[in-house]
Amino acid sequence: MLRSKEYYNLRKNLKKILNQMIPGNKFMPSFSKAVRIEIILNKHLENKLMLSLKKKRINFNKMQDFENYEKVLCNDILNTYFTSNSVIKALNLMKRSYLKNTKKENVFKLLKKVKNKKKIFRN
Amino acid sequence: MKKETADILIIGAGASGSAAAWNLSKLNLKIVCMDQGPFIDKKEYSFNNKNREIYKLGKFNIDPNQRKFNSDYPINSNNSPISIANYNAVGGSTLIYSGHYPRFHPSDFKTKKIDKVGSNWLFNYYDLEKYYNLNDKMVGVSGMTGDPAYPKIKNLLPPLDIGYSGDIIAKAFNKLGWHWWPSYAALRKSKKYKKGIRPTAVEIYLNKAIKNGVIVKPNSRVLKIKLSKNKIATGVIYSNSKKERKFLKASIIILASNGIGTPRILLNSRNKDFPNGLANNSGQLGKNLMLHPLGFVEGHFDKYLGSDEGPEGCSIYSHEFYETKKNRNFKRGYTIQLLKAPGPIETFHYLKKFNRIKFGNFFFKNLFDYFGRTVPMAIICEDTPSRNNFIQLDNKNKDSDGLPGIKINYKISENTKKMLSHGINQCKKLLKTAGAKKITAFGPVKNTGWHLVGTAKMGSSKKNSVVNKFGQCHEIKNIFIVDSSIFPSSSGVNIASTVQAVSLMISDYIKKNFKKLIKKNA
Repeated sequence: MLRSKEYYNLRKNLKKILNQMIPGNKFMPSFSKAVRIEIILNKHLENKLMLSLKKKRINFNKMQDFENYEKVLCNDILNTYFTSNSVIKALNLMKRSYLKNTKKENVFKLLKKVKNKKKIFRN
Repeated sequence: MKKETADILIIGAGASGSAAAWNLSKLNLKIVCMDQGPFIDKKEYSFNNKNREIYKLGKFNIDPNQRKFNSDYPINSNNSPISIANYNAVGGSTLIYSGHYPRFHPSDFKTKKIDKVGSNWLFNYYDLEKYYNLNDKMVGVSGMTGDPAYPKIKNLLPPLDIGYSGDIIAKAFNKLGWHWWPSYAALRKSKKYKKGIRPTAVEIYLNKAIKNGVIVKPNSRVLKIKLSKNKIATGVIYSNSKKERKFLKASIIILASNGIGTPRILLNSRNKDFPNGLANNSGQLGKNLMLHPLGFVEGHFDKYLGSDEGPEGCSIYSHEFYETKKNRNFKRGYTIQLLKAPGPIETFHYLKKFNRIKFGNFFFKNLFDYFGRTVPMAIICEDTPSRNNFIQLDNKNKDSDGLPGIKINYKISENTKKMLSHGINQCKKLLKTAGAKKITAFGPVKNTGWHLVGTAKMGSSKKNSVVNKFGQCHEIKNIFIVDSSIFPSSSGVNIASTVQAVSLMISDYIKKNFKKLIKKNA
């Protein structure tokens, strides 16, 4: 059973890690802005790797890569992040902004050339 | 063992079984439609469910060996370059299909006659046209009339948006002077739902059949079809969700369990009169398996094209290389389909495979350099029948009721290999013309055995085929087959439209001749 202080440390450290894994950018929110940390935490509370985060101080500079965390959390991180409403919204905004200056031709105009083609099926 | 009765029993509530159930429901008869899978809530398999990407990797995985649900049976594909994809639930594989609804070409019904490959059907495109039209109306197929690849198709719903990636590829097709057309799709535009509304067999046919009085029995697996001494089917022994064994007596039995499930039931029902499986004195049951080998070509573009947007499946297609041409080194041909690119979760897993993405500062850069900037294309090759491609019972791997699973024995023919290689080269040319900066291609793709055809072949003689032109078994007159296992040729297009049209045609025959059929079999 975790003491409340340990739980507090664990949550804080996990939040740091998850935000380093998915830090957010101009369009996309960071992990903790999109998903409640407790969702991930409660699912993996009994994992040894997680329990090691209950210490107060963790040297994050030593954790250059996230391989160990990725092995355990990858699917849950991706699934919760990309199905969160704020991420879906942000993704749509990003797409709209990318496609802002892209123009499309009318499909009927494009098909004119094909319509004049000979029949290509055999009876 | 408890006994139940029905006038008509339909085994399988997927694309073909649901169509037959609806068509026959207009008769004032007791019709039971049985499926080994459960009823699933419509919201779960909707394209618009935000968890769809997750479900595709889990409970709606196309591979029965990965899902391993009680409703699934093991399919051993070790002896095949292509593994089987299906879904066992009420609605069948239409719960996971892309809703691409093209018809066969008129030439697909007579490949032997005109191209000296494969087998001829016992009816032609124009015999089936009435049922194609009815099915299009029931499904609500969207598309555009005037396609030079087909005889005139009328009454289509407005076509779907081809998107920005479709626009670029359509221009490249035009530059090369090749045929292309907006796809025929079982998808309706919707203001509310961005990805469109895709009906499955449940919404198209089954719900209407239930309203007309058809009884649907989910979680009910047929273990054996029983015969009388005079070789007439009397009914089936089935197991329900509580694993209770029951006998259901039926005057007519209709098999609609796809190109693997149907022969599996007949093979598992073998008895003294039919030691090699019911209706299989010809030895053709389970043979001639055709699978549509698929090639995959993907173009990578500099800018975001929104290729992950819009409805799933195919937005435009080409039949430029569909018919046999003398100057090619293969007979028959293939369809080119422009597909939708994967969503962010699938994209991550794909990039991870090649070590091209890492969590951290470059996570989004790695992801968005790929996501929505790729244009995936599929080449669907026509397969030709061969006795060497067959399925058999697999006694080592059994389902939750102890019935043997299935083993696939399949090799791609030399003709199809040449076709596949030709298709990949043409798609590379197309994507280069469209301005792709990088192109990747491979084929055949392993997990693409969606279209299961030919394993209970239709023919005029009981010596070399299983059923006649009405899907009626030559050797057991009150067993009909309405699914793709009876197709003598595979075509080079998705089969859902033809599966349902054929099912409507056969069930029409049963409807018109029901009294006669009952008298004969009595």
